[in-house]
Amino acid sequence: MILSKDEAICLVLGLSAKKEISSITKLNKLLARLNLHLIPINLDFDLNKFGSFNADLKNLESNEYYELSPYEYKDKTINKFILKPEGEQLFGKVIHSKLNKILTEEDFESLKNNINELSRLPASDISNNEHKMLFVDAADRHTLIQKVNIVHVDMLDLYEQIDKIPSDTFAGIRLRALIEYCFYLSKYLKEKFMRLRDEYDFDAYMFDYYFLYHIQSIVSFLNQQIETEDKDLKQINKYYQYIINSVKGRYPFSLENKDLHRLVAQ
Amino acid sequence: MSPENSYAFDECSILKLCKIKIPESYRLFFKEDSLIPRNHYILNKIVAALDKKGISKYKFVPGNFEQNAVLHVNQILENKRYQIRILGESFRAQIIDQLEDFYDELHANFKDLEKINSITPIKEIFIQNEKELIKEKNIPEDDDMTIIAAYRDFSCESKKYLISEDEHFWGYKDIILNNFNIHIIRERECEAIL
Repeated sequence: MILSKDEAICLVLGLSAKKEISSITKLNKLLARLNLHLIPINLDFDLNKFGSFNADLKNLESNEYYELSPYEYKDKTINKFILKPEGEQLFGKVIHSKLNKILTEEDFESLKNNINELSRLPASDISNNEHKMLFVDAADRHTLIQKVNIVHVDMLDLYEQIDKIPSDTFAGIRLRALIEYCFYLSKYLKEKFMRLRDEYDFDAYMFDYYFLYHIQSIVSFLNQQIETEDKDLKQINKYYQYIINSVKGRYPFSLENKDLHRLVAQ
Repeated sequence: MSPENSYAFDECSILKLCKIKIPESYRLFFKEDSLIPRNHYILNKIVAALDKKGISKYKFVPGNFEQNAVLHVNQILENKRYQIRILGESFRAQIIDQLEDFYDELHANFKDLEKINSITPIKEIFIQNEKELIKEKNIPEDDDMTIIAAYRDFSCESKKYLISEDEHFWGYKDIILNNFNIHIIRERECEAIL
């Protein structure tokens, strides 16, 4: 399950105040923010010193779902994005057919409130804390390495318990897959982050940092799900879809990379 | 094949319509780029012929999709030729994903027949005519009987066909035909109804 670019744009527009977003910079930041809610979108983001960004978004043009409307601001012409009726329909369809499989009502409320609140802020205020949270900066390098080591050891503990989980339900099968995948992904990230030098990671790829962030955040959930018979399929599915399926073919550690076996073996 | 007949499929046979795409990272463990379930082609041929003639296809609801999909995946992965040496759990989950997507899209293409839970007289007939089955327990499951009850009560101008590879059906094909007027067709034999 993954949202296409148009679906993701309609989602953030549909959740924004007045169903519009005042600039491409803000749209960029709101789309990147979907990653914090573990919503897989078919858009690649890099990290620079101002947070996650996708350079291709600046070429967006009006289409059947949204329109770009120019306005003057501080002697510059800026485009705002406005949701069209067809976009509202797509917004409803995305919620019904896709988000419904991964988000609980509370998850969706939290997403709605978060995007709506952020849409009212200036773009510069939106991703101020992203680097701090992800430990991208060179000053946080020591903490990043510590974190990846801890996460990898935690995942090893979980991976060793995988046979406790019966594979006779979708929840069980996806939980086993998620634990196995996160274990090998944490190993890959550990190798990668250990090689970083002292300066800022100029090749920073957003998913490297976000995956580590999310794996760390779900360790206790995975532990609890191993022990319980009443597995939380929706929550498991949310993590599974984001970590395993969101980057197919767009990230080195991906099931669509024919050389994945080399990364697993390293 | 006639519009006056009705054609229903059991859920396990429907799942065999799905060709499983092997993700790139696993291709080195297979000779193919997809996994094709047994009888896939013949079942697809039947479905295509029905669609071409505009004849409705039926499935029974509520289904046991989760249970049948897990069983289907196990059958695929039991093949000794497959030696998946990395991320085996993820591979299993990827097949489930594809089956789920396939099943979600399939709903519009099949009409639903509601299973009927009142099965006591049907069960008695099976008990009176118990047969020694090869792979399955001798008496069909209650769920199989809810399918028979639904199809028995379904009104059809001519013949009713149920396509299934479940021994609980084909092992009792004569009994089912004589008592419930349902023709059981095994997957491998379904070219006969073309």
